[in-house]
Amino acid sequence: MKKIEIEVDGVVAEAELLEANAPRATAAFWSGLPVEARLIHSNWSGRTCAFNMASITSAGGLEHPVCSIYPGTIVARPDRGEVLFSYGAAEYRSELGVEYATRIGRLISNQQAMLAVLARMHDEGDKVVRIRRA
Amino acid sequence: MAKRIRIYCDGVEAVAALHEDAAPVTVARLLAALPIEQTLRHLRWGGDAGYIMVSRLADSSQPLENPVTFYPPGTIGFRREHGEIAICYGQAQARSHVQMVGWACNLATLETNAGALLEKIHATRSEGGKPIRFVREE
Repeated sequence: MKKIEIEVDGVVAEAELLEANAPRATAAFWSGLPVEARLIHSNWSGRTCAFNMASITSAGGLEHPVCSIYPGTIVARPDRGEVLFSYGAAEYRSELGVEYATRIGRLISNQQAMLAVLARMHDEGDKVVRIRRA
Repeated sequence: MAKRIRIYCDGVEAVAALHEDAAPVTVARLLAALPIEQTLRHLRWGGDAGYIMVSRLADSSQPLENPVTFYPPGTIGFRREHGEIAICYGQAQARSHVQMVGWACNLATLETNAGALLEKIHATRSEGGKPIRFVREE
């Protein structure tokens, strides 16, 4: 099981990649590490924060697509080069309505602290996210 | 002559005309609640708009007047069920986590200095909350 470390605003959490669920997207994500990017709050998808990652586009289409994004879940939208983290009620949406994304990972340590820092982005604005192989 | 409100946000002032003819109850309730001072935050479900929640204005039994689901840029929408006032700067819709298509009252339209105010609204997405104040324009 591949694991990653995610750092936002001084908080570090570990996540596992869901390779069995999404072999192409997790491989594309893994190949792009380490990454440092601007994390922004979503404006259509609810309690989620997103960043752009060029490597994820090589995953091609969706794998086991989902709409709901549960807290602590990491999803990707390869065609948009987009990766999202959820910290509460969230659903992958756009201006057109409900859409789908691929579930690529989930937090396995320090989850509450990471969800709290993501929630603060609604009040505090953008932050930098750093992700590396664990 | 339309009644107006003045909006102060992070150093910018703008005036909006209230749609009193189309939304008399909603406008009267808003005017009675002024001044309102809160932190403006960016919508999480509805797209390109900033919002405040005014709990004392929340009343689902209030009539839905001048209804819209999409907010044109420069308009101010009001959702009676939440007491939510939203100022739209781009593509936005009255949505929530349980509603893909909600309804709001088209309460007012910005008349002066709209561009500068909408830039401030837009900035809440990347910069976070900003203080905002609504007062009656005399």
